[in-house]
Amino acid sequence: MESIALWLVSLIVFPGLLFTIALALFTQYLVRKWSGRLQKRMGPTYVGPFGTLQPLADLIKLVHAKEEVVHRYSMPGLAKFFGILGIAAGISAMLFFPLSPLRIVSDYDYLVYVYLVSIWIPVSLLLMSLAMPGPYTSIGVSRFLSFITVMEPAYFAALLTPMILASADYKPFYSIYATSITVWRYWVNPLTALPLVLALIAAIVTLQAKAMFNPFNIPEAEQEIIAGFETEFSGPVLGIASLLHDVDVAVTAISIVYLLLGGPYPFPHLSIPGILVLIVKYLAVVFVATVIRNAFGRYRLEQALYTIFKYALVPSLIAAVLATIYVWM
Amino acid sequence: MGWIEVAELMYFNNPIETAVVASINLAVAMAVLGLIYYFIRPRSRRITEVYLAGEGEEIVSSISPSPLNLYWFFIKRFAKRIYDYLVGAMHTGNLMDWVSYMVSWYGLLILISVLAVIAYIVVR
Repeated sequence: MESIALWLVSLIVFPGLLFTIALALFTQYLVRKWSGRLQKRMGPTYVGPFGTLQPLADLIKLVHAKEEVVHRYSMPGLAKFFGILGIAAGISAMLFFPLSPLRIVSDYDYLVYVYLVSIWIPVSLLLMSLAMPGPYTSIGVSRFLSFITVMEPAYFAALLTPMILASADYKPFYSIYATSITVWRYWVNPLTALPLVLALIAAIVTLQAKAMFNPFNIPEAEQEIIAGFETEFSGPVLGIASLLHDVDVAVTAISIVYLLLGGPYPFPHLSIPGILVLIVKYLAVVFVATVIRNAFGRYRLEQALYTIFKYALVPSLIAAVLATIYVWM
Repeated sequence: MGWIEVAELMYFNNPIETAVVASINLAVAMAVLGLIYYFIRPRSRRITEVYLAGEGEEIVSSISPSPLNLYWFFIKRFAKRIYDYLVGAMHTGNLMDWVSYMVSWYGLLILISVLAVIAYIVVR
């Protein structure tokens, strides 16, 4: 009975549904607020203390108050189904991190995590978009598919690098939990720090691309192709798509914080220094993404793909190869 | 080999069990999200024309793209050099060019397979 209660608390409250959505909305707030400051604007101000509840107000407005606008080719029910599926995949993935009171651990659990985050989330977003078709939507989906072809392998290889190192010394093999709590040891060894630096650079570029922040916002390309893959979204479908995007950003940032930066370690989770270190690392990752977003203009599609290829895919593959060579030696 | 303490964890022996549990979690989270949405969903719906920057529907040939067109950019632009090489090698109009191209690639794949098997046997 206790274990079922622990499972439900982990899945529904922390770090599952409620926490993941709260973190996603807070991350959106941070990006909007910091972007506002960088552009000499105020950013969100009115709802909640310092405007922190603005993303929640926007979500409730879209999902509850706005009417649903559809055309005769739309399948809004299907779009919402896939949106909720993608958000649920992100929530399910959170239970792999040491953050969770109930941690799912096994050999090669990283592959299950990738199945949830790198397949279900982007596929859900694509299927949402295709369920609300239109010419601009098609162009956006085509561009996003091109992104996925380069971006997701880079994300996989970047996070695989610490797994390769940790699996040489610790069990379970290729486990998110085992890697998260041991990766900090590899930052203090110069031979293993180099692949981790390359993997971190690749992961940051990948986060930028997955979030479709500048310079990688060509799939939505506002004003050029209206709103790209989300042109036909409105009301609840737009709210769910926006939440799915934010959950994707939050889970990706958390994965970088845990698998590459070591989460709160060397401090334990249930300690003041541990919690502070965890928060600072998460804020740092989101801040870097926000600064890059505001420092660049939009790349053309081929520029964006070559940039992801050059600064994410190639470094992540080199990092994985270097880690493998180190382990063999 | 150190052993990470897993006593407080939900530990599984293989990734298939993990995938099943993750899928159950996904299904439960979906059900809860679906219920929440059901209770707060908007009650009104408006049906409009497809938005085509003020143009009529007749200006587009099809409302949905073909699967090939979805990958158009990746195939024709990003991987253009590879694409041109493949097309150039295979579509010269001479059947023998195509046969020699295919045989050479299959030969290379078979060679790699044989070498991999030999390497595996030696290492084992």
